[in-house]
Amino acid sequence: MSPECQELLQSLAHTTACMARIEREDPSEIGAALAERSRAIEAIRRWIAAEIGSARPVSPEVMARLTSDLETGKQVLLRRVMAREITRADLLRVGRELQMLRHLRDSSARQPVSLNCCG
Amino acid sequence: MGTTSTSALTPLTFSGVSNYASDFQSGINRAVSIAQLPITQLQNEESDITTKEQLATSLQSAVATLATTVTNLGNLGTNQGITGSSSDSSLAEVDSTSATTPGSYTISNITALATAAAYTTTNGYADATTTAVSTTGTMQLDINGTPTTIDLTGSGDNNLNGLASAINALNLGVTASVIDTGSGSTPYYLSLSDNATGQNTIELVDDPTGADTQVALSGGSGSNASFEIAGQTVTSASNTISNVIPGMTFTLTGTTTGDQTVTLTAGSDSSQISNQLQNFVTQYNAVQTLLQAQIGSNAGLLTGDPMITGVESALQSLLSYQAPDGAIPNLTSLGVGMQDTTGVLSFNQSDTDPTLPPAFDSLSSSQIAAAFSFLGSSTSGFGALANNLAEFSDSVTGEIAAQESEWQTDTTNINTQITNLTNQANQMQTTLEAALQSADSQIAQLQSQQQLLSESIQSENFTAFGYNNTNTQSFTPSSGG
Repeated sequence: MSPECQELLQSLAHTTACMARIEREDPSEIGAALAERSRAIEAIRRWIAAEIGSARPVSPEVMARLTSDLETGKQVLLRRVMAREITRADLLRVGRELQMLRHLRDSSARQPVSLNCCG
Repeated sequence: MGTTSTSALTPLTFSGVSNYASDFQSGINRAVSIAQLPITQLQNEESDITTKEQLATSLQSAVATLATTVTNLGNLGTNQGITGSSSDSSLAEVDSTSATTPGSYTISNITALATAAAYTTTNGYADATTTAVSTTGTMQLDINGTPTTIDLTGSGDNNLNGLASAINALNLGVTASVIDTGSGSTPYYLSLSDNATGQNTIELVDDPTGADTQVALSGGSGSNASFEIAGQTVTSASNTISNVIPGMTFTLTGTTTGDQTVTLTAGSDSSQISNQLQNFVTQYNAVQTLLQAQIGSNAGLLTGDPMITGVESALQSLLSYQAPDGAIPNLTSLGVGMQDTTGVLSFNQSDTDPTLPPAFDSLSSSQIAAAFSFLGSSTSGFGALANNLAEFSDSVTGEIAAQESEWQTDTTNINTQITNLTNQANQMQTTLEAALQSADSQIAQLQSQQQLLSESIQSENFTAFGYNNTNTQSFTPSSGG
């Protein structure tokens, strides 16, 4: 495995691991991790294309590590999808709450009960 | 106790793809249930307050009606249930009486009834709108010699219609109108009538400061009523007489002939007591029914409320009232008693059943007189107990009104909470929408990365092996949204 290849794989593994470690729902942090991983993937894609163009097959070791990163990415994606589902559920719940609160507010604006002491 | 909310939050069905999806679903359900709690509480509180207000308003109305009935009974005690009557309504009728002592008055020699003055111009006019009624446009109306100038100099005023309008506009107690006889060359006449009875003369003068011409009028000047009472001749401008017999107002309706007389009587009427007692029993039971609905195992929302126990106590004071002396010491001696153990009152008008309170109709005249003493007045005796009820039913100072005011405050506080929760939910919605948008973008980006990486691996596999020998399908979430 060439030093260049090793560097590329390490970069991908690092950015994937970073992305996987992010637990907080900080869009900017996740966005930065995604952008960094995009650059690493693009570099690997270009390197593979170059290797194929030079008729140099990529070693199975490299392929195994790439596949491993791909699997890690799958897990992150699954977590992100689930987090999105929960957010969507929360949004629907808040929407229903708002609907009920507005109904309550409107019904509270009714006329006060009149008092009759004349019998 | 409270009314359960009917509009609960419905948890979202989670569409996750992992083995942990059911756990996420449980989490969402719990979160929704927790989020529902404060809203449900608000809904129940508001519903409870509304129900309480309705119950209290019904109770207030019923107690006020009962208080009025007790006051009326007290008033009977004051005026001894005296009513007026006439021996001959074709001669005189009693309109009202506030007399507090019985009495009888004979009226004779009703020689005249009061009538209102009424005149019509002797001469007719050709047209009501164009024929001039004044030579100068200035006329004068004299009522019992008191002159009032009538100005007809305005455009279109100097005619019969203008004259009638001008007289009516003066508001002198005389009504003018135009009569159309429909016959002859001068079919229009002016009619002048006094609004009140009594002897009054009306004159109409044209050009009072110049020619001073009297307009010929036909008719009568009205008359006063004349009659004798206790040998004294009385004249009255009105047939309704209120200042001759103390506390009694009567109206003359006809004249007598010869020695004919009419007797007006102010007498005590015991049926007024029995009618009011029956009314009292009905109103008492109405209040008792409302109270019973708030007492016991199936009590309503006002159970334990001080107003309930207070009104109960006020009712009890009515039943337990004892006059300090006299033949009628309590309500039971007037025929009012408890029907059974349910607290329902009944009034025995005439039943001789010994298990019932004594029948009202069996009371002697002396007992009836004592009954008036028992009833007292609005400030004493049984009638004064209306004040105990008014402490609750008064729309301004009553305890029920005060409680209503407190509930209004509670409602205001709930509304404030609703407003705060609404603002929080609005903010949360905005945040969640941004998070969802961000999540969509991230997922799309991650999918793109995965696809790119997957394609690179596939490309290398095809180059190296001629086929794809690894499981590198890119993950595609099945969830919607």
